[in-house]
Amino acid sequence: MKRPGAVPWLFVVPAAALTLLILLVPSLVGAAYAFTDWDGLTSPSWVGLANFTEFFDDGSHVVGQTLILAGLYVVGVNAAGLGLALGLAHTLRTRHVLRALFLVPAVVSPLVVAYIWTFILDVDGPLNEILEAVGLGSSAQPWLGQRNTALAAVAIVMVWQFAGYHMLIYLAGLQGVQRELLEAAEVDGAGPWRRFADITLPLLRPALVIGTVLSTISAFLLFDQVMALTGGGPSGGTDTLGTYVYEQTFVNGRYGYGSAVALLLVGGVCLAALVQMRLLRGRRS
Amino acid sequence: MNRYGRWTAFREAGFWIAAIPMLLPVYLVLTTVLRGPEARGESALRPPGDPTLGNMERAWTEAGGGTVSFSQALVNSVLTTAAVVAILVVVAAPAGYALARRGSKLSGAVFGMFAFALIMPIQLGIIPLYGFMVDAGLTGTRAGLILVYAGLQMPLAVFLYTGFLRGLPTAYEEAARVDGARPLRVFAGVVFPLVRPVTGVVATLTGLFVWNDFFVALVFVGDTDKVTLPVAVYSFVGRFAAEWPLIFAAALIAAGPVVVLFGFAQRTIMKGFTSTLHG
Amino acid sequence: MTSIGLDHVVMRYDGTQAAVDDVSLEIEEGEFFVLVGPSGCGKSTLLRLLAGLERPSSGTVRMDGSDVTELTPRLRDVAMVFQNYAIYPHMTVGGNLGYGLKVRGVPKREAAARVREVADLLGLGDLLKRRPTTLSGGQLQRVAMGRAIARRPRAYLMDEPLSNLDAKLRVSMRAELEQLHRRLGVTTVYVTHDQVEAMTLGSRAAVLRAGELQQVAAPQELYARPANAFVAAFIGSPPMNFALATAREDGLDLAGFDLRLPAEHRPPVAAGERVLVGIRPEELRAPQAAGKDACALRVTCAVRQNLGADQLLFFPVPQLPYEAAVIARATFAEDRPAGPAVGSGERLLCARVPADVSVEPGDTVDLAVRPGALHYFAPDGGARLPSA
Repeated sequence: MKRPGAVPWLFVVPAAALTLLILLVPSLVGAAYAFTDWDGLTSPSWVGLANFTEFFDDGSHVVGQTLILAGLYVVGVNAAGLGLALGLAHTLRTRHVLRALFLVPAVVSPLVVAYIWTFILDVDGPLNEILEAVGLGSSAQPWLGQRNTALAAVAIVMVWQFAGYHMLIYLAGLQGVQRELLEAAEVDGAGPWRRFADITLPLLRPALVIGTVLSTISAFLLFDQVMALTGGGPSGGTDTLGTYVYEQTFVNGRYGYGSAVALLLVGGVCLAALVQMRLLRGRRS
Repeated sequence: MNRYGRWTAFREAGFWIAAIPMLLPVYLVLTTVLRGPEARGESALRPPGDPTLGNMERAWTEAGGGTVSFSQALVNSVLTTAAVVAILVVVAAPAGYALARRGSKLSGAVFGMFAFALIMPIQLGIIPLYGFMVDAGLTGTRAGLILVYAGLQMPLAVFLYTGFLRGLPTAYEEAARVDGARPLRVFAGVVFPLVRPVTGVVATLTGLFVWNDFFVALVFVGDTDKVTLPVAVYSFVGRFAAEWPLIFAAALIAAGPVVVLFGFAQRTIMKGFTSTLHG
Repeated sequence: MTSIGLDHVVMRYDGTQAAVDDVSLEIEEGEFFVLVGPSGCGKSTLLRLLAGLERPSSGTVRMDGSDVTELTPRLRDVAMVFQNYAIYPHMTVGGNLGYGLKVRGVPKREAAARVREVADLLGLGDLLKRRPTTLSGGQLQRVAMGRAIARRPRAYLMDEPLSNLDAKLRVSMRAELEQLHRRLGVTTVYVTHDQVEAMTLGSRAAVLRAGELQQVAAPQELYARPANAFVAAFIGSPPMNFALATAREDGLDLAGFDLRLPAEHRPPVAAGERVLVGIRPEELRAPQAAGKDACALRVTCAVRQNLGADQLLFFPVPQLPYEAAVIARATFAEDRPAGPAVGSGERLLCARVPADVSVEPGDTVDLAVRPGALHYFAPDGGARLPSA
């Protein structure tokens, strides 16, 4: 479609070149390493699917933990974000201040946030101190230091940090819900709960899809927070795919194996994106 | 509807109670930082009896553990972030414009490439990329770090610009073209000013990513004097393990600028966000 | 069927001027009642008060004699048609028509039958499975109507339902609406800014300005005996001509024309005093069509607009000092769409005459006006003055 004065292709070249050079070509090379035993020193040799079979044998607990963490985080952060957005969309006098308050943690480095929470959740930290002060001293515990609470603690810290960001997504979504539609439903006889379930929620579907997919991806790729909060411990109990790849590649020097796991990670993320496309299309038809 | 009644006042109070967990960590950071060394053992929940800026001073001067001081890391963060945002805006806006306006199959394919890159995590390509950068002599340099960040964030920037421009009527550009302007002029004089909301969102999102990122900076400029603030905080924690007053002072130096900036630009940022995300 | 009443209803949003100011109204069973006025006059707020979407600051709303002021929309059982239709975009046409029935717990079987019936009534039968995004503006409008009808409510409330349609469709929908009302006989309150709709649709209409009721009457009465200069200027198209005239013993001095009037049509003010005179363009006729006691006016045509069957002739008249300001104040011109441009020193008045009168700009034209067609208003405030 050549029209006079059309936008020249040259406009795209720098962006495309940079993306290819920094992201896509290296990823392609990385994908090729996934089928080798490269250790960064000796020259790589082809091992077929050995890396993948090894991961399916050894790494299943990592997948399980990642899924648990993703589940907790995705449900928690979206429920919190949606609740905040619904409550702070209008009417409240201090809604702008409150929105800003809930959003502030999202602009701070996850690493810094995680360090702060390491302090709060420490055995001798303020949280246990508060619990003791209100007479719940028996439930004080090393939140990050034991298997059964560490994973949930990581999820809660992430929800704390990013609930405000998801609020923003849902606030944008709520702008697509015209006031007249809710009024029409009210005149049609729907009470507050029915209006929410029949009108608001279905119309928020695109925002829900975006929020769910974004939070799923960030849970899959999670690295900084786990490193700072638990370092993957106790005894691997909070290892997720993100930290596992890092440990295998950078700590153990197993580039081939790490690449294989990273490739699976990409596959998982693509799958999540595909699901998103399907859901969005379902809405459009 | 939406009238302010008793129930609304109740809701307002509820949200402020819900905001306490948001504020408490900030309070704890401040009390810990402001407490002098003589009051070490005190609970963080108690306000410091004799507030002091000593910890801030120590963190600012002693920091870095031999590699870099916090003042240097702050400069690094500012320079790196500003350069990356500038490159992204200058390169991604025209790309998004071309992709939004060219209806061919090729443009669809190129857009698909950016969309795919958008969900591509850095983990897979980072080792080969590190190899490339070593070969090019760019590891440990600020230019190299800027290039990597720009490449990593490019898909997001292009994606946002394209999406916004697709929804923007072409009448303005056509008017400029009828007036005889060439493509570059149309872009610089008409299109670019119109996409200001997206430019704000791109700058906010990518700027925050670069400012707050730990992993990429660790890999590419790890033990050099080019490290950004999160890496400086990280090595600081390594050196002063459990020295919370110092660590939190470092955290304040790293987080302070963005929080202050956010406080000032909060309304604009939110407006830009809702208009871009919604469109 | 339901009667609706409003008693001294005031609606005030936080400290601002009242959007609805002490309005009392009686709407009878089965009536088609129109609320008309310029934008911002409070007509939509009034409708929302009837629906229960707003609570009045003071005053009561009655339905069938009982106080419903505090009742939610659900309990009032009225249906509303919104200006932008407010069709639920995520439901099919059938889903939209049936939503109110579903919410109110009408058994599925019966609901389906009623949806079917309404769809057939409005010609939506083939569209029941379609999504709203695939419908045209006219079809959306029908769905909005159908949703109200399917509910079998006590009353229909319609908020400018035709304003988003193109001109041709609007005319045919207007006729259809009237037919529907005759067939269903349900009390209908209809809000519009379009005085043509007020004239053609309603059995009665209320004219509102700045939250206050100006006149409640049958359309013909609004046209023939407007209660004040605002109503006179608002109702009728092209709008009524106004001029500041001086009363004389035997008639009027109007913009330099000497009008002799029989006693019963003289202005109710003493000779030498000023009075605001209104003449509708269609009352400025060719002399032979005006009757024998008509007053003649010889004017020079400045602009001619052909409307097909009729033509509009605009002619300049001299203007008194402050005349434009007095007229603007008395007719609340700032509340109405702008009329023809007013030049300095003279103004354009308008006559509507049959197209077969052959006139070109620059021609001298003889016009005449019946003494009975003159409307008198107080220059100060614009209240209607009965002729002497």
